[in-house]
Amino acid sequence: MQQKEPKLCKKCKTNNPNIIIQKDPVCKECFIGYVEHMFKMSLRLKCNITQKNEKLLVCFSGGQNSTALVKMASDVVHSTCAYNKSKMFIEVHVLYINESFIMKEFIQEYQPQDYTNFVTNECKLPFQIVDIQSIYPDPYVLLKQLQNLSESGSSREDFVRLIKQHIIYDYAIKNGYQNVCFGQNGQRLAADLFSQLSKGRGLSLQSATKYNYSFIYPLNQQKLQILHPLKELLNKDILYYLRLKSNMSFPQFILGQHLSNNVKNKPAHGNIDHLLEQFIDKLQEGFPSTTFTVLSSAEKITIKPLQQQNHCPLCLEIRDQVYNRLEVETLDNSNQQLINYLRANTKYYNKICFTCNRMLQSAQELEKFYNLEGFPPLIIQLADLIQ
Amino acid sequence: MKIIIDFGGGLDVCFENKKELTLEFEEQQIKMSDLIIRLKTLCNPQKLDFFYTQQLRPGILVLINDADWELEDKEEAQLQHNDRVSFISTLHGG
Repeated sequence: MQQKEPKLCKKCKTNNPNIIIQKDPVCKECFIGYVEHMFKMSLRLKCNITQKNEKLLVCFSGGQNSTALVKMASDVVHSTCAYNKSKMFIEVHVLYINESFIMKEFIQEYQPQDYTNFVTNECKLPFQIVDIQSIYPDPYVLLKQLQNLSESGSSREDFVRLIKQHIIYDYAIKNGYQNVCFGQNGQRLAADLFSQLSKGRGLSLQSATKYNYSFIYPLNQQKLQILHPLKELLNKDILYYLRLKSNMSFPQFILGQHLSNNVKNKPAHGNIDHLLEQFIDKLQEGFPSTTFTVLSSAEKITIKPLQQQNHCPLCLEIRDQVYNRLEVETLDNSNQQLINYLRANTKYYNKICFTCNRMLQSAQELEKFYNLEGFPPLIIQLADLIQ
Repeated sequence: MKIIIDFGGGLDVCFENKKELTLEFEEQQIKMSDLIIRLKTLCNPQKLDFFYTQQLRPGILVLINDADWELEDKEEAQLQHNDRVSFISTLHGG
């Protein structure tokens, strides 16, 4: 009988393979080398982090992607990569937004996690924790706003994301960081792309999926660069990397699910982001080139230049114009009387974009939202400034 | 024979918060598909989607003795006494 030839790692051709990357079986050592190389290459070539002492703000959420990002950033800064030990002379600072204030209110079994040991001792990086409620003059307004938003869909999760985004940008500007690094891997970015499209943020696709995307922060006209250095990696790569490099355990917390308790019987708890992640994961399993096909197609999308690029003060994305009849109908604007009332009697109704309108539509006390009552002064300042 | 199973990425909530399980089988060699069938009887479906219809939910990384199960034809992979099987899930957002 013919003996089956033992499989060997495609790269070193000596060790037994442990994982498949891009259809090739590779061993643990070559896998770590591959991930570290991809990260460094993305930072240098795709994100243009080339200058000495360039400052990088790494956003850390405690999830798997951002944990891997912090670990990789630490390795390149401290020259502790397993293989190519060339050091990058950059300043990395880790920012964590503490959501305990919200989580405690919505999740009974919530247990706060302390990441200080991981970031400061294990990764040896400067670490800053900012409480999510800290930008509100009255923190309880934030809880009230969340309770006022619709429990179904992803409204509450989207709202939390917007607040976090404002905190991150504000922190970056105030502390002199021009580069803000997010941890989404390619698979998550591909899901985000569909998610943005389905929510009506077609004009913002470029900011959602590019390696680096620059924009001018309206409050002080400073340039901010958003980076996605893990774009070349997949979920599987991140999970296996963490398995080999970190002992951290990750709690299963799905903010969107917990914030939307009454939709438990719907797929993905009625959360469009989660549903699209599952969709991409399923496609990816059957067709390994899914993620990179989606992302490379997204790179080719060009957006028709608008005469006036007005921005929404809530999401800071381009404020879309309603061009077609279909979009008008999906606005749920059957109550034209209410829309007219809000337009006439609230200060900011006309400045909010299509997608943020969709998020707020089902809320109670709409007037308060559209007058930005109790909102962080930062957002009100932006809303007053933006045309 | 004995198979050791561990859960990562919060999948332990489907198995009474146990991060590690040891399962005994009468046979001397089983396939991964047999193990999955056994796990399905132990899994609390209320907690999280561990299964997608009859199969394992896409997005869960499965390792047999720290090696990707895709190297061994997934459900067809043969398991032996004292093998360690790891199931690691991705988190939403993350």
